[in-house]
Formats: sequence, C-alpha cells, structure tokens
Amino acid sequence: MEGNEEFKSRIKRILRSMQDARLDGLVVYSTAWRKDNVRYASNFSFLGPYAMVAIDRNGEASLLLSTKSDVERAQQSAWVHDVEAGADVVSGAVRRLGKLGEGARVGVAGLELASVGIIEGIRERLPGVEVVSATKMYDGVRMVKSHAEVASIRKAGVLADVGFKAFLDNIVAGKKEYELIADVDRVVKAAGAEDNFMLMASGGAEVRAMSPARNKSIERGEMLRTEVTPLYEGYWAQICRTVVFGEPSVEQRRSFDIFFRAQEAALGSLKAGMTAHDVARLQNEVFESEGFGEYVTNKYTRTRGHGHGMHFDEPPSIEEGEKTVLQPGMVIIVHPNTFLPLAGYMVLGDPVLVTETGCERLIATERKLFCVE
Amino acid sequence: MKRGLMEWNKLELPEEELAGRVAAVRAKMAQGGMDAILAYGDNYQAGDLSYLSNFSPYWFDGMLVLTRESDVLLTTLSARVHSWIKGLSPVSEVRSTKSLGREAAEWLKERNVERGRIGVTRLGRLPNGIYGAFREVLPNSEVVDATALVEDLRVIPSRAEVGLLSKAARMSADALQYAFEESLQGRKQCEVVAEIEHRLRYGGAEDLLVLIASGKAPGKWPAMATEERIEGATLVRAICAYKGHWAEVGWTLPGSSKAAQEANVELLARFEQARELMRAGKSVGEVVSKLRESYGNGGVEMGAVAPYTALPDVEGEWSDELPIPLGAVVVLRAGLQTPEGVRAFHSDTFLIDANGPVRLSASE
Repeated sequence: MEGNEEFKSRIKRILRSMQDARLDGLVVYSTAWRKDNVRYASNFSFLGPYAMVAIDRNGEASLLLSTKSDVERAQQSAWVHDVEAGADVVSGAVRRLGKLGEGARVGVAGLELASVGIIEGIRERLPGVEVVSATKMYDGVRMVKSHAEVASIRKAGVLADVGFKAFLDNIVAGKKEYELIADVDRVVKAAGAEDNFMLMASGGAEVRAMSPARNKSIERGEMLRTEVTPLYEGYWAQICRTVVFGEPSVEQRRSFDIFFRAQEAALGSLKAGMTAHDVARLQNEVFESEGFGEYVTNKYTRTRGHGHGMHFDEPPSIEEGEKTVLQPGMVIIVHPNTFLPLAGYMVLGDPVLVTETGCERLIATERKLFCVE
Repeated sequence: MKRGLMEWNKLELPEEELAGRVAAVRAKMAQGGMDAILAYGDNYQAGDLSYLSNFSPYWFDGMLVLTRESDVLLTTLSARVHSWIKGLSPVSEVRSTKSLGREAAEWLKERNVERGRIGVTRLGRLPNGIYGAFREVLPNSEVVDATALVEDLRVIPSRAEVGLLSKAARMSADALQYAFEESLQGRKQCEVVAEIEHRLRYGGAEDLLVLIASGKAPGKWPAMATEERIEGATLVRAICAYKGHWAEVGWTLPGSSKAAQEANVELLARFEQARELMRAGKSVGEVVSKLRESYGNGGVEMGAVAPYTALPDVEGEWSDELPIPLGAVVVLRAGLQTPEGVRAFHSDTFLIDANGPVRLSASE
C-alpha cells in the first residue's frame, strides 16, 4: 500500500473525529493480540507485548514501541517517522501530546485493553487533563475503508480462497485435525499471508461449535466445518465453508439449503443504509420460517457476521439490536453459522464490500455444500 | 495465533502436577493474607493463566479466579466450547462472560470476598477495562500485585514442565533444521517460514512465532517474514509453545557469504563462552559480558538472558544484576553486527542444573 496519501487521509479523518469529540490529543494503544489500532495509525506491525501511537492536536504523531529491536524496522517502514522504544512509552506519549492545559481532554483508543500501568501512567503525567476512552471514535474512523484498504482486503480474500482450496485438497481419512490445519497454514503462509486464524470441527450432527484443531482423526462420512482467515498487508478476510467427506445425507442437504437461503436473503438485499440489525434479521427470518427460530439465539450461535478490516472481528457485529448503519466502503462477513438438529453445526460465510446499491463478494469460492470423495 | 494442537495429555502433564501448582499458590496466598488471586491471559500470552489452569485462550482473553477453596475459569468464548475447555483444564467451573472484570468480582462477592485482599498476577499488564469493571463491583477490596507469588513458583520449573519445555526446544531445533537441509537462496522468506511452521505444527506446536531476516549488509534482525527473496545470509528464530510451554532456538545460516561466515563463527564462539559461564549464582551481567564486547569498530553486540516465562515476548529479559537461579529454564540470546553491517544471531533454551547449563534443544 502506498503510504503518504493514505496516511495523510487517515490522519485527517482522525483529526476530524478528535475535533468532534473535543479531544486535544489521542493515544492509540495496541496489545500484541490486537495490533490493529497501532497498525492503522502507523502501518507498522510491532513485535513484543504492546505499542502506542500518540497524535497531537495538529496531527503530528509518534510511534512508541515496547521492543527496542523494532525501532530499526519501524524507521525503515512505518509511516510515522518519530519512533522511540523503551519501557517508558508514556513519557514519549506525553512529550508528543505537548502542553495541555487544565481541562484538556485526551482520548485513548484501546483504553479498555491498555494496561492498568499505562493508563495510570498517562493520568499521573497529565494532571488536570481528562483521559477518556476514544475506542468507539477510532473504531468509527476505521469502519469505512479507503480504496487502498479494500484493495488489501481483496488480496486477503484471494488467500482465503487459496486456503479453502488447500483445506479441500488435504482432507484425507485418518489425518488429524491439527495436521489438516497445519497443511492449510503452510499453503496460505507460503502464498504471503502474515497470519491465518483458523477453526474447524469434524464429526456428525453432535457438533455444536468449531474450536482449534484437536488430536482427532478425520473420518469418511463426517462433516467438516472450517473458517480460514488469512491476514495480508494488515487486512483480514474470512471464508466459512462446510464440507461433507463423502456423499451428503438428505438432512445435510436440507440443512445447508436453509443456511444458503439465509445467507442469500441477506446478500440479496444488503446495501448501504441498512442496519446491521436488518442484515441479521433477514438471515434469522429464514431459520424461523423453517421452524428453527430457537437456533439463532445465543445458546447456539454468536453472531450473523461481523466487520472485517485490520481486525477480523471488527464492529459492526451483525446481530439483532445492533443499529450501526452500513455505509459504502464497509466490509463485513455475512455468516449464518449455527447449530441445527438436522445435521449439527454448519458454517457458510462470505466477506462483502458494502456499496450504495448492494454488495460485492470479496472471495470467489462457490457458495455450496462441498463434498470430497 | 493459537491454532495448533491444544490438548491435555495427562502423561505429559499429570493431574497431580496441576493440582500441586494450585495448592502451592494457595499456600502462598495464605502466607500473604490473600483471599483470592486473579490470573489473566490473552491470545498472545496466556502465562500464569495457562500455568494454573492449562487453558490458553485461542481467541480474545480469559481469567482464572482462585480463592483458597474454589476456582472459576472465566472466558469470553461462547458457552458452546465449555466442554472443549473442560477437556483441557481441571478447573471446577467455567463461565462465559462479556466482562471478565465484572464477572470475577460478582463471583467473589458470591463468596463473601467483598472487602478481601485480592492479588492480581502481572497487575501492571491487566487491561484497564477489566480492572475498572472489577473495581466498580468491589470498590472496597484491596487489590495488590501478586506477580512474584506465581513467578517464584514458575521460575523453577518442575520435572514435568522441563519435559514440556524440552519438547518445545527440540521441536524448534528440528524445524530449523529444515533451513539447513534446503538451499534457501532465491526462495521467498514466507515460503521458508511456512515450511518451518509446518514442521512445528505437525510436531504438535500449540503456538509459534517464527522470525526471519535475510540479505547482505546492511543486515536485519529476525522479524515477520515478507515476500522478499532470500539472498545472502539468513537468520531464523523459532519461538514455539508446546502445551503452553515456550522455548526459543535461533540460528544463522551464513550461506556462501564469507563476511557472514566470519561473523557467525565469532558469534558462536562468544555464545559458547557465555554458555559456559551460565551457572547457578552467576549474574546475568557476568554471563553476557563476553557477548557485549565490541567486535570491530561500530559493531552491535547484544546479549541477554530471559526466563522462559517471558516468551513469546521477543525481548523479555532479566536485569544484569540478577543471579541466575539453580533449576531455572532460560533463553540465552546473542546478536552481533560487523562494521560492514553483516549480522548474526543465535539463541537457545537451557536448564540450569547443578552441573551447568543443559541445552534443552539437544536433550533426549
């Protein structure tokens, strides 16, 4: 991704949001398992337990790293040129934020995940300054993707297709689940994915959820459910598919038909202006019409989808009651994944780009119940 | 990301071992007047949570709450995976919650610990949101840092733990062996790392971080793989978790570069000297002094000793003053850069026993 224009555009949007929220400064925090906040503001993927970007009211930024060996790499590749590292990242943040008078307000994006030590340190060193959460504000900035971001998500989508094909190609009776995931991971990583989040479950109608791979052999006649979620250029894209190892039963076909129609109901109507609630409702209505309304509740399923971006589970969550309005440029996955007593847990998920008039699928894999002989 | 094999093999990690850890923590709690301990962990570093419950969150985070009589594992994962969790962990109770802090506090309130003394391991790294939610429900409890309480137990691993750490170290070395077997020149970094990771995952690695650097001068330190093609020397660092126990092995493959070969020979000689010095009671500073001696003009020389408990942090290190404890498992890391910018890196995981350091990556 070309840096300069994209970075300027992001800083501009961040500053506008800061002004709307009456913030005199912003600290963007990331922990190691949620690097996305810092990466969005700096284009840098850090090693080590945490990092921050501090942005002052003029949009000048500093990248503050917990790991010294990251400095050299950051100086070469980060969009933020003022880089420092050490145990005392708070001092660097306070330096960047500049002179803040009594009554000033500083937002922390990621305040909830930021460590107690960091937040207490910021409050101690900025006496008289109100330190507030800017997480929702920052999530809002990130929600609508730029053209450059969508281009990266498309590439991640290509890798999702590659990963699912590798899943199909590597299904062998007797292979352990963790070996199958390792096989998929090898293909996706060799193709350039920085990471790959993957869950699966093999078995019959008793399966209620996916989990990390188990020390369980895959057997002919089983149904395999998986989600493959590669990370490329900082962006994730997920595919969810169900595979029958053998000939699908009548129940499996019937069950999948419901999932397909639920997803189709959402994809066929999805466009800017709808809410996340609407997208969930369209899917749930199909299950309800089949007499399976109970199975779209929390007892059996998590969400009907979620946002994609630098985190694969970004807002908005696609569930009833979620009133976020979809805008052009948002990327979400629509997945009516749930347990049905017909054939057990099933998954079907496709990431889409929301447009003014509809949505565009970002993966090419067919939407069908797959079978492997 | 944890998507390798997560399971509880009771031959490798007996129930009595886990029960013993919890009992030892409870004994220390009693000595320190603590009514409860909170051990938080996340997808990146499960740490004390994994040590005490054998559960590592494969997504998001979780927390173990331990009183002197009871325990609960709190997870942000769905209740649908509780049976999977219970297959991994001997905890009495598993609860799913959107708010770990609030749920922990409510659970303690149910057990009349409202004004108690609550220890939190790695308090400084506890997420602020969790801490705030906890304090809202239990504003009158005394919250203290209990890091040392569990760290003191973990710094001297048990026989079972050393077995798991050895396995992690051997797996790392075996996987890196791939890099010696193949000609890497012209291959993409990501292809090489994908192969190394595949070996680790087939071996049962629960989690891993494989870092790589390649190229002629100016050199780089190992970082995440890119699609850059390998040219010149290659530095590879494998940090691997086997059943929640982390080890590290890092090597330099100098290839045909004479400068890289010389740098690597020098580094390995220094590493060996440092290894020889690494005995119980010696300070970290004494051990790494040779590693930090200058090499030519303007070169970079690095040396560090890190406890295995700091992994996968790439720079978790002990301070120079610390004497290395007998029975500890540590990572010795060394890096060197020639004045021309050619780099070499080496690391390995050792058990410090009475006779000196035992290289776990070479253990049976």
